[in-house]
Amino acid sequence: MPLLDAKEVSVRFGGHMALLDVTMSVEPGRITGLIGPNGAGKTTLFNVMTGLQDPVRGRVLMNGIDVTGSPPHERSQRGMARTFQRLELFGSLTAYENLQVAAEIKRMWGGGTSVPADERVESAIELIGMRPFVHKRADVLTTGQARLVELGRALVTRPKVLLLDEPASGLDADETEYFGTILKGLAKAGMGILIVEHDVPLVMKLCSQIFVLDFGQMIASGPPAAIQGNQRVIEAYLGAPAGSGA
Amino acid sequence: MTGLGAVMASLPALLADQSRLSEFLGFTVFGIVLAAIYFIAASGLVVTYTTSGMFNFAHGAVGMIGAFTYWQLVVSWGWPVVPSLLIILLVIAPLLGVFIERVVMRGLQGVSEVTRTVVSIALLFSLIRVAPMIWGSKNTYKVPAFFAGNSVEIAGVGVTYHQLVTIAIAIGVAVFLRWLLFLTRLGVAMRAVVDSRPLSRLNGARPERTSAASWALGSSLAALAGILVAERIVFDVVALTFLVVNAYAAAVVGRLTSLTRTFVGAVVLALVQSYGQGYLQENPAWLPKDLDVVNTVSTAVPVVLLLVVLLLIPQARLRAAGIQRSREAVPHPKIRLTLIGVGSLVAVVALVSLVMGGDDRITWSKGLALAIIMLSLVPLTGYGGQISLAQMSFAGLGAYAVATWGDGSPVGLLAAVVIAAAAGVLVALPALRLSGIYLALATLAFAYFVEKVVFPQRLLFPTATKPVKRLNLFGLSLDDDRAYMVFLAVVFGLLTVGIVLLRLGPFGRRLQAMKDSPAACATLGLNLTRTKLQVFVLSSAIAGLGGGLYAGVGKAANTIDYSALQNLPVLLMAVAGGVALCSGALVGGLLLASFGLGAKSIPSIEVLGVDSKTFFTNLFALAPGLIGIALGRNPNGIVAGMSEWARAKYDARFGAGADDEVDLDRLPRLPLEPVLDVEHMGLFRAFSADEVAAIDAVVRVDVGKEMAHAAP
Repeated sequence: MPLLDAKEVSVRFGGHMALLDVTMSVEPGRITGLIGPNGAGKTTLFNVMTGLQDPVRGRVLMNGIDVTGSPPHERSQRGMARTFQRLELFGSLTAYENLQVAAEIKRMWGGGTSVPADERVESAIELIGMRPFVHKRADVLTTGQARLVELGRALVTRPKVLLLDEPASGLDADETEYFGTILKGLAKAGMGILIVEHDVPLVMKLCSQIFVLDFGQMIASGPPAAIQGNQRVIEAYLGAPAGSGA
Repeated sequence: MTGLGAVMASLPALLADQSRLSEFLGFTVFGIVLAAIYFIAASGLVVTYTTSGMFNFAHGAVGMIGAFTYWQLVVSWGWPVVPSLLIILLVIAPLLGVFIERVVMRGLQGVSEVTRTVVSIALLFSLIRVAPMIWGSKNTYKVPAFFAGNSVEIAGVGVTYHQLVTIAIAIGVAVFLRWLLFLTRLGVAMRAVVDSRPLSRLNGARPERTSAASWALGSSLAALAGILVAERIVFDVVALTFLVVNAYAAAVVGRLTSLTRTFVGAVVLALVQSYGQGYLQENPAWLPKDLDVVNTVSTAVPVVLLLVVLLLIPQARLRAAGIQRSREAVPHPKIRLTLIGVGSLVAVVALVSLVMGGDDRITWSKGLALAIIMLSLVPLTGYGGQISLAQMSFAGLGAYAVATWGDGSPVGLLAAVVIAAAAGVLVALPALRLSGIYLALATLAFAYFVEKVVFPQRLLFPTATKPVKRLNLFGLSLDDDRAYMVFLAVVFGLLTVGIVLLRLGPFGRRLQAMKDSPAACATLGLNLTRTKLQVFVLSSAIAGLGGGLYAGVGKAANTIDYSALQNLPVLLMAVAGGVALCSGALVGGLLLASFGLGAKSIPSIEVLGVDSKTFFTNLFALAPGLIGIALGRNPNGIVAGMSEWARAKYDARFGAGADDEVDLDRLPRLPLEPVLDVEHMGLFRAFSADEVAAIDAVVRVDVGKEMAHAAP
């Protein structure tokens, strides 16, 4: 059973349909990719799945349980965590405290864990290698460091499904490579991961399943090999082919 | 709502009886005219909010200034009505609006929403204090109706020309605003500036100019409402201001943005108020006889309606806003320093209390009690970023509890804490689901409710003053003023240590995190509403305790000390001291108390026809407002400013970097450059076939191959 399901989700902004009957799913132990040109509706779909945006139609299921309409904190308590395209760190706290707050929130609603908050924080710091800047305040970190802190903060809640909104934007090649390695490790451990990314080569390299959005509609889905040859995907990225072909 | 429902149910019976029908129609006409005034006032608020993104708390006071200016021109100087109106609406009010925008509001870029709101509250307070300096503090002002004495009869009901003019003006305002905001270049530019200031600038709009225009318009609408409403009553400064504030409920129905819904809100609000006033002549049978409902209901309707509307508004969508940087520093208290500070405070107070005169001791004791009330704002506003305009009202409930159940035992203070906390739950619950501005409004409404409905109840307060017996702890009497002063310092110290420990613990971190990014907190599993409720209850409990102690200083609970207006200087001085610091509350409390002392000590000398004592008394009363407005320049408050200054002196003496460790709190915190995020603005389009061909000709990309190359 998929960890996370979006079923025929539609979102309207005024007269504009930002999403139209979009269906997709995230499986455990796999990295799923969501791509599409600017304005395709990727972040909107992300917000619907995490509860920051209500759909006008459609349902969101976690482990088969309908969570449509339930607030973000309840979804988190069911095992969902996310990062943000525009960083949402707690700027006045240190990197360490960012993780600490998340671990303490997790402890408040239990989740059947007996691991002390500090221990979780320490293991996340080791896992993603944020030791060098752990006592810096979050609003003075570089983008690369800040993205790692957001990932760390999501991980201390021990999510079953992790949603990453453009995790590689603002990262250099080495940082991106490093990030990819961490994600592969997490998937191997059984976590379901969904990434929205502009960096198409990165998505092709990491993901086993890719969904493509364009103008609010799902135009293709499948393994990377099927996606890269898909004519509609190519058109979506560079516009309709000219008479002579693109 | 129930008033309207009851009227609807009894409508057939009413229609059958001619005299009752005309009575009903009379109340209806009265309601419609009131609706027209509410709509004009509320629309001004909506215009400023939608075009500058700022909720202008001073709107009611601008309306009051407009009405007083009208009185000055028409009644005092005997000018004709029409030129006076034109001068006020087209010259004076717009100039006041532009002045507010230029001098007060424009300096507020890069500060938090809390600071912006506080500055607008400071402006409200300042205008309320400035008006009596110009017009005196009598409460016998009256302006004539338009076409006084003329009326027509419609369906057996006399409708005055003034009422007809009011309705016509409201319709005119509605049509004008619709035309202005949607069909003119200026209106579109006004709305564009709110959506994105940098982008509108790139498109050739001049945000400064459009912003000024919207403040001018909002100010004119406030003045117009003020003038129209002034005819109905014999007015004074505060009453008139709050009459316009009633219209805030209508704007909340429109969620501060929709003029159509605001109109509906104004009509419902005014009709409920009119029928309530008209039909509720005596207590319903199920209410106790000595509970005064009849006299208080007319003032309570808008406030109760505001709270009901807040309950009905759907929860706002959480938005991810990116890391916010502001000019405001985030202090990180240290427990060792706190203990040293608290110990010194108690020692200094103990020493000073010995040498002080009796009157001074009372004044500074009041300062300490006010500081305790202001401490309640440190976790709520300083850490959690929420604004309350009712701390002094909670304090009033605390004072009542101590006066009623105290009798020297700690039970009174315990009751003060419990009652204030319970009231806090009632006020906060409807507003906490919504954004910060609604909590500020709900608390303002509550403060007004307490003053107008709770305090006048003879059942609770047989007279406006209730004697209070000071605490007697285990045989240790605090009846002596010196002992009580030291006791207050000890209580302040204990609370300070508690609040600092709270800040350094998990709850404090959660509050700070919630202030930084509510969206991230929610997606980590934090229930925002519950967290806000917890801190609000804590805050109102501290305020209740402070109120009980404050009443102990003068050995009496006096309802005047806890009126709605008294809440404003408490918030303003707490923020001016530095609301994220317990020492800021101490400085704020002592300063606020010292203003009264300062005014008392000025000798009465006549200079240029002005009595010096009156002048300085007014100036000291105005001080919290002026200090609050100055927050735009230094949003961190007095304590942080002083430590910054001391730091600079230290560095100048011993050389910068005398400490090896770099203190991150002291790094300059400049506002981030506005980033143009084109995707977020929804500006995208697919390239046309010609454009693609043109790009291809230049870059020669083969997408299929690129992707194949990138695949694992």
